[in-house]
Amino acid sequence: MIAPIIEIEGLRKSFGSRVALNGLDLRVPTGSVFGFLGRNGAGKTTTIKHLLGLVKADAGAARIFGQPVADPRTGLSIRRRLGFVTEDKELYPYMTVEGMLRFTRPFFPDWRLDLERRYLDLFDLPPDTAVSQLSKGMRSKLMLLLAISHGAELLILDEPMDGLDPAASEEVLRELVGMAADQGTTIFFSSHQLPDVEQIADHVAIIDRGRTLIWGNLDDIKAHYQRLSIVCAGEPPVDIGRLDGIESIRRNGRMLSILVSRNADAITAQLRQSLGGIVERFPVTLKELFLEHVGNNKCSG
Amino acid sequence: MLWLKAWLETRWRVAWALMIGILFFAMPIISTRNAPSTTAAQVRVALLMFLIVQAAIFAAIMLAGSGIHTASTRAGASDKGAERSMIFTLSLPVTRLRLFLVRTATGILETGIFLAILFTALWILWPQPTTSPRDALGYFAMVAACSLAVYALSACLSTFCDEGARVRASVVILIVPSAFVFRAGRSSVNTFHDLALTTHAASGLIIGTAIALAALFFAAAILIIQRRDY
Repeated sequence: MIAPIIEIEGLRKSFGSRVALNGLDLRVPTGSVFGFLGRNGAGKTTTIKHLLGLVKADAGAARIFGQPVADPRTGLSIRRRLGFVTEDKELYPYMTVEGMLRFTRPFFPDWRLDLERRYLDLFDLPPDTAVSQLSKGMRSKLMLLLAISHGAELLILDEPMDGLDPAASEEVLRELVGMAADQGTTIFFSSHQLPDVEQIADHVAIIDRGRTLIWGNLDDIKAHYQRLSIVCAGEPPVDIGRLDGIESIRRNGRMLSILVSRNADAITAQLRQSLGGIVERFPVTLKELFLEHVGNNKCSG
Repeated sequence: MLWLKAWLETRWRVAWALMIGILFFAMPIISTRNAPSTTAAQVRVALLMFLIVQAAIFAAIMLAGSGIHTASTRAGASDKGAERSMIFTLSLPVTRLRLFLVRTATGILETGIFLAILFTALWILWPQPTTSPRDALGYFAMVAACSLAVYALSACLSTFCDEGARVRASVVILIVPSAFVFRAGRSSVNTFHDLALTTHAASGLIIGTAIALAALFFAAAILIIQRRDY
């Protein structure tokens, strides 16, 4: 098994009375494209900031490249090997695009001019334009360019597609997938654009209220989770929810929609036997999974 | 590159400080233009000695935004850009301490150069037969040390206040104790008395106290930036 590039164990962080992280656990496999999902305020940005050494945790630990992020000395060498795109895409408004490149290059000894030129052309960034004149989408591209051009082993991207039009977003997604495939770069990104995540991510984590709800290989998750649809001939038994593997049940008249996370075959057989109707099985989308978990967690809270 | 960044972020403040400095120089000249030459020279020097202290305090506060502070995107104002981009700066392979030291050193250098220009201009334009170079240098050292203390106080405040709040808090913190000093019996500023301090042991005490205070504020600022979340 390949060692995880990011390991987070029991991370806790509170800001006053507000709990941002409540025992978050996560492992990001090396070389993966990892979608980090959650509602606003779920703890995504706090987690990312902790990984970058910007926020100190109250408890728990996080390691990148096997080194603790909380230690300022290792934190420095970690940041030299990763690229970061901030949530708000704020750069220095008084510098030009070329100025930003000139400023950033010296911090990274392995800066690659070939990558810089390639992405400057690809993203169509005008070198002499001031950052203050760039749209949010253009600033996103510039940040991505700065994050990529030093040949980072790990990219941590906080809402990288935010502000990009659909065409630019598609272009960026394609490049990210290409980087992961060609150079083995691990991409850890948060996003609210679930179709985008589903398009490029091979691993996902859904967090809510500072805790990890589900995480793992996206194909495995989707293979395990299925939606069963059954029309009951009579009244559905009340104890149906006790079957092992049933995550949630929705009733609409005689129609039952059941989300299962495992034992789909056994549950299907049992439903056929006890309810006597036709059970149909459907694959679930990431959006369904997200809404199911985050929605349930919201109701249970 | 951090030096360049620090300079780019403060260059307009330096320009402002210099403009105010010129204004401070022009005020005594304009106000004494009709006075007899001997009196005018004495009054000008007295006024300038007093105004230089004000200019030094003004410059120290103006240029002391070296603390590492981040503004929320919700802050809205366009001049918050530099503070909002601090997250990007902190994500680079640079320690908080190095970033703070570079920004602080740039500000101190700018304030020092500003003061040196002011004192040099004063010395060239109005040579005083009654004031020896040693006394003048002593006075300069005292003003510079006190400016350093003011700078350090404001830099410390900038680790947790935004720019507006930092300037306001610095002014209030400086005004309140001054008001008590004035109420305690010194109802006017006697610049010649201050100048005379340079020949007195009190001058050394003031310089020593100011440097100790500056060290204290800088240490507090470093402690804050090392511990705080961004």
